Amino acid sequence: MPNKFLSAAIENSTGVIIFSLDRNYCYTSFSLSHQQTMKKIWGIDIGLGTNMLAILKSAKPEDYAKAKANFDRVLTGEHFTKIEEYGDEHFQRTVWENRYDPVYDVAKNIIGLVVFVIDVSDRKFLIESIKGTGERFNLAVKAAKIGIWEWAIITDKVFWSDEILAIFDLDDSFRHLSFAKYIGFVHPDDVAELNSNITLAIENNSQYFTQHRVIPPHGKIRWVEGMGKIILENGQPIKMVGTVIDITERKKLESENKEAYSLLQAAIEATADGILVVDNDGKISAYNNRFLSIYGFSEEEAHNQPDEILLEKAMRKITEPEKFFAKVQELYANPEAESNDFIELINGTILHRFSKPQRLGSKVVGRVWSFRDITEQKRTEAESTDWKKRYELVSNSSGQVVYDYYLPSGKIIWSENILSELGYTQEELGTVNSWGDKIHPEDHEEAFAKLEKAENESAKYEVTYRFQTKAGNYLHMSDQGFFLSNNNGKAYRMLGAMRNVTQQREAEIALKESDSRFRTLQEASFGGISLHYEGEILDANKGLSDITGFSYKELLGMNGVNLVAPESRSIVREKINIGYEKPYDVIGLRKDGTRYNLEIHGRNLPYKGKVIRVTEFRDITERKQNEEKIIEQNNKLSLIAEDLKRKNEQLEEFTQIVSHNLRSPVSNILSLLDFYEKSNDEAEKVTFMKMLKDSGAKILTNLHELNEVLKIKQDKDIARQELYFESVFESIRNLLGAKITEAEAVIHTDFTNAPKVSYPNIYLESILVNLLTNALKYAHPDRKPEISFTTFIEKGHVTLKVADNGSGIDLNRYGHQIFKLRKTFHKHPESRGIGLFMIKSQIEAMGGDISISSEENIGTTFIVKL
Amino acid sequence: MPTIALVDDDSIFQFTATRLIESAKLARKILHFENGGDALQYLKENSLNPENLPDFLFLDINMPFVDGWMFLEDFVKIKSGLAKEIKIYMVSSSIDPRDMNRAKGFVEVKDFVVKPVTMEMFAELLKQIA
Repeated sequence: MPNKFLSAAIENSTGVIIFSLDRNYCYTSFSLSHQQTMKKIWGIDIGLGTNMLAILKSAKPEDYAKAKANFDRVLTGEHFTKIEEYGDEHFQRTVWENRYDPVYDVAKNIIGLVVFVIDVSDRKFLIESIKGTGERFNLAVKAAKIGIWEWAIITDKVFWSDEILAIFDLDDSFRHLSFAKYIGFVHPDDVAELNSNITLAIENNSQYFTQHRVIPPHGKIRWVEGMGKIILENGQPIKMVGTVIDITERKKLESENKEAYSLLQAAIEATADGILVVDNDGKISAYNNRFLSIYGFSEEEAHNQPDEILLEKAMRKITEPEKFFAKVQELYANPEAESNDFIELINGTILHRFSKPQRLGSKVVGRVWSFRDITEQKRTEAESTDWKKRYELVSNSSGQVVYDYYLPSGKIIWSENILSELGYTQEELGTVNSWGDKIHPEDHEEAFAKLEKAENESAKYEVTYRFQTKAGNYLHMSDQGFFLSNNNGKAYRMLGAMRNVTQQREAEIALKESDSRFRTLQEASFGGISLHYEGEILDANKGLSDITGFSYKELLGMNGVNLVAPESRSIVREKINIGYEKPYDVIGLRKDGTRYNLEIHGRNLPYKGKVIRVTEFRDITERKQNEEKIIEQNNKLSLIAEDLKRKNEQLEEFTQIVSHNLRSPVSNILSLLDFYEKSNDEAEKVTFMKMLKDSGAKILTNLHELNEVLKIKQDKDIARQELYFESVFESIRNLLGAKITEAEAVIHTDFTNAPKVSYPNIYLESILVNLLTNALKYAHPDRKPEISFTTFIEKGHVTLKVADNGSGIDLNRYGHQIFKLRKTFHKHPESRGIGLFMIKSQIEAMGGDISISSEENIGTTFIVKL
Repeated sequence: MPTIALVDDDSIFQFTATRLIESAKLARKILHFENGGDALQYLKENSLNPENLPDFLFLDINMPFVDGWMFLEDFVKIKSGLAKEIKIYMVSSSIDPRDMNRAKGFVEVKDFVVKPVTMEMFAELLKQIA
């Protein structure tokens, strides 16, 4: 605690007034002289924790405001010195020179302030001199070397006393000066402040205090401290009287005070309890009472003995003085160095020793030693006893052996169950060495390396090692705990617990064996298997290396996602995130950059306290190929099915044809034969016979047509040849020349977009003849037929379009019959109904199709995909 | 005696059927139509004249232009406007069961008769209904 020393220093200071306050302006310490002063001036009794501002507020409101302003300034981190007057207004006041400094904690936070008051008792004379007149006053002034001046404001005449002339080293001719002349002597940097002080005093009819430098004719700069007061007459300022004191010498002293102050600061920053400050020559420049008490010196003894004796006495109390001395030598050779170590005194107390240079400005003027005394350890041990009691119950029941190791002494305190758990008594394992010896030699190095690391970082540790019991056997111990460190970050205490984990360890070994069995199993598997934890591959089998091309070593630690192609990675991540446990297909990426079809099947498994993802990788290139083959086969099958369906439809069509077109004349023949047999009329018989012949002929015709169609349907392999529409059409135009002429038909052709086709000539001729005949046949009665034949390519197929301006047909009514055998839609003499049925058969046999669009009285268009 | 309509494009069937019906004196009058369109036309024209409407209608399936099925579809639409109930027999050379099933779909069709139709069959059909 930095404040501890501060308070100690303050309490014991005799000459100067020091007090310190916390952020709430409550006393954290004060010197005796301050307490006396407070009593004397304000009549207040102060104590630790008293709120200084609160009492000042009730005692003297103006002083409260002034003090608060100062304190608040310090609390923002400012250091400053001020000359201030406190007390009553009739010059019963006391003038102080106050130095204000903030107090910091180790983290450099401002936790309060300290006020260092320089005794200016000489000012008492000054105050009295102004107050009164007469010989006593003059004597006193002379004795105090105080210069007096008087300035008649109206006449601007200044009178200086002998002392001022002496201060300025001037002869008598300077006794009467103007104010301006005086200002001329003031150091240029201080003129402004002096002027403003005087102006303020005149305006407020008050007095001023000032410190400034003057440059007398001899050129030696001197510090003077001045005071001035306005004298009123009938309420008007008529003159000003004041004093001047040469404070050049005191300014020098002040810098010495500063040195003392830096000592204080250095000591505070050393944050220790016992303080010893030694200058560069080895002389003791300061120590505090606690230092004396640590080393067992009385104050009297310390005061009355020369430094060398004191230091020697101190050395004699240390167990290893030569070591201590070596350290001291080392530090003196290296003035900037700081030290932090432990020393042991002969009486068994352990001291935590810090040392840092004492600086004045940037200069090292000495060294501050601080000693954390034995009370720290005493307290720790006392605490640990309590702590031990508290944890004893827990540790006994849990089988944990709890320990508390105090590093400076090397001593370990164990929980009582150490006897039952390990067979040792407290004493047998009482030191760190006796403990360390029991650690299995093979585990020793690693365990200590881990512990040392934790110690250096003042961190938690967890280490396992085999530990020898009293009976001589080794147990697996898990040792967990933490280090405590002091303010300087040095570990001094280690608290922890050892737990017997032998059974657990044995289980782990068994698990390892089962692990290796598992490995053997997974090696035997065809696929690749990996264990992932948070994306990283922990383990993999040979199969995965075979599939991916990465070696086992390369796979370990690799991000599993990199085994699939970039476009598949987001899918894989998503599946991992949602814990998907079904197989899915992605594109794999081998080490050589090649890609393959990959099936991934992952599962989350709890494993040694973590959730691990076990993933099986399967190269499914072959399966994919088979799948493709199957798809291809399916397509073929569906084509075949399509064909069968069409064939079935055709069969149904034949059933229709047989039912209607063949059975019909046959039934007629049967009826007619019956008539014939029963008739006796010869003339009638002739009629019947003619009808019988007609029916027979009809059957024959139908059979012939049917045969033709059947031939078409069966003859799919009919040879194709390259045909030019132009020339084929020309031949059929000649064939139907008479009919065209008779109908006065106009025929347009345009075969430029698809001039030729690979098709059986006989079919193409049939298609063209039938469509042309059809168009001529169903010409509109009111107009001459216009028929166009156009070819083009549509979706890769040569397509023929035949459009006419004929009578058209109601497709809603007759559309279903158009391409049926023996259907006619007009009572036209030539309608035989075979043509469209036949060309449809031909077109379909060649893999094409025919469709119709028509509007009554407008015309009909056939589209033929050849 | 009923009036009978024969709707068939087969002239030989028209001849034989007429001859059988007449010889057996099964009808008062026989109407001849060579397709469904002509028959519908007649029915529409005489819809309010029961004297001219047939009692029985023998309907072929396979006819050019308006076939038996198309006739039936239109007949369903006009029958409520007819002054007389007309009993329809499908008469076809078809032995295709699909045709027979389709005919059963029309309540207007009393029966499906497969050609050839003998005198006895005609007598039976006409008697049954009468």
